[in-house]
Amino acid sequence: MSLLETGFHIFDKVGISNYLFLSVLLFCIGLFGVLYRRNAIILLMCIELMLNAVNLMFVSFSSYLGDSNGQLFVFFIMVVAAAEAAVGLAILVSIYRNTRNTDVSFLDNLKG
Amino acid sequence: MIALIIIFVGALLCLYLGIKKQESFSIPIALFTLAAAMSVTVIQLLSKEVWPVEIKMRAGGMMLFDFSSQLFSLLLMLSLFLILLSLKPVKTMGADLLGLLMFSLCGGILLSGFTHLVMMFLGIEILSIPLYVLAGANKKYASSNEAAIKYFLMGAFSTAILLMGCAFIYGGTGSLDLEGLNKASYMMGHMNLATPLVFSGVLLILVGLLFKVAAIPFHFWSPDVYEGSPNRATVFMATIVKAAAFAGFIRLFAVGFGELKEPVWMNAVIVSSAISIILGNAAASMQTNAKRLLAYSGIAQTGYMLIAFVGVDFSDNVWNLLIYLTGYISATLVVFTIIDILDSEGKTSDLKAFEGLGVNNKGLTFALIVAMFSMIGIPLTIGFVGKYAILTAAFYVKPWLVVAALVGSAIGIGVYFNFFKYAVMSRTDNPLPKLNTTAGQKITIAFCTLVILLIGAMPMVIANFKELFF
Repeated sequence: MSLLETGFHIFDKVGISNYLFLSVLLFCIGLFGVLYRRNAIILLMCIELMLNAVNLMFVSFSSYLGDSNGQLFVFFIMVVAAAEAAVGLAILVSIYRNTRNTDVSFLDNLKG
Repeated sequence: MIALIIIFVGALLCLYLGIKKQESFSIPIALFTLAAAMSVTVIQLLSKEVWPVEIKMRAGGMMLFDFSSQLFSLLLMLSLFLILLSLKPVKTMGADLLGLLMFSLCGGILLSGFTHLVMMFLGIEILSIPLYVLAGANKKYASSNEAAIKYFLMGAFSTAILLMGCAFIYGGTGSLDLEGLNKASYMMGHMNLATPLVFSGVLLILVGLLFKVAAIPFHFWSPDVYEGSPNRATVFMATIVKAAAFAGFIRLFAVGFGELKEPVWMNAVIVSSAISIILGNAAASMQTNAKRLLAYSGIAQTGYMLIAFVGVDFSDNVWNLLIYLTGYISATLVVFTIIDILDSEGKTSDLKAFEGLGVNNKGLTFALIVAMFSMIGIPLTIGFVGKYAILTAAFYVKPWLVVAALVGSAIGIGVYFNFFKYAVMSRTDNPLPKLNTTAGQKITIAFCTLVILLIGAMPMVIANFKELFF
């Protein structure tokens, strides 16, 4: 007997609000990380954390609403996040070659 | 849709030529591709009479190329065509970077024709990711590196916020495509119950998009990025990225959330627009670097474009925004082409580089002054036509916004007078010699100046076009 036939649903055991609170919490951790940390690699990780919080929220809503569009969105977010990370790390490498540092607070030449 | 495919194939060809080191062919191929895509779009637009069924091409139900999106994509393609014409000879730019510009344009076209939030997200990302690379294309320069990392971090951050908004909207309405959103917001608007989920979702999406168009609480990245990036990337950001972001912005908010209007997002847009106009112009008047000045003036112009969201009628709003964008893009292209010409003479992008431009370069100075008049909004230029249309539409809804716009314009006169002061009025002992311009640069400047003056002198012709399309 499969899970579907028993009428078991994931949100019976753990309510959807818990998923939402968790993903908003993760999102806020990422957000404050971006605002307060100064190491570019940690900034990249924080942005990934924010994107994954969004993924969690999409998946839980998708399961709750019984609609597959949300899960479709998650795949695209994962693909784009990978592309973004590749470009971001490439930019970081070229910065490291010039300054021997990955701290973004040293990058303050442009002002006005 | 066909135009999108043509441009994509052209971009792939450019990348291939980059690998094969056959870079001298790349610009002609890119220009040819863009011309082909533009003619296809024009034929589709004009065949409305020939083919009585409304041309609405759907792609998997996620894109819909109606007239407004065709017009927006035509504007984007035309501006990339002019930018490529005005580039310095090929040596300075690899074919692969050219391919990236074309990929970025693909994102812009997606953004002007989406009907599903997945497509909007993909459009924004395809538009931005090649630009992160282009901003850092001068790998050896610290300023280019800094611009790239700032643009990248701010872009990725704002995308994450926008996506959180999409997730909230999805949870609140159960739908991700524009028709579903429209229905849901109609229900909520009329029963006066926007749930907190939808409310915060709309505001998060608004924050993400205001980041992309660089409106004032979220503008701080743009001056640094504009100054540090290479000229070709800066001109792309200032024209095409802004236009594409606005195309997506007005489509989502007017079609998707149009019915939620008053309480939820309209006030935020209005406040942001008023602050952008006044503070953007004030900050621009203090700049000494031409690229920074254009970044701040771009922020102010963004404020004017945001006013176009206020009007009552959707097709009017889109049309006004299009006219305003056309004027903004032509004026910006003229100024950036002149900055690029000065740059190839070894001058910096400082405002002082314009000193004594008017003595030996009458044509360039004339074009510069016309562009500045259009930015200020002096009658007989397209800038005036656009501002007039936007402000009259807004006047019936929010009269005080018009006052803010006029105050901003008054400050703006001082900004653009800076160029005039250096180019014409300065009495310098060694004025600039006659500058070398390529044929492409001449064509770009002449075309943009003609657009500014012709549409400015004959706004009725454009109004007739509007009857044709809407």
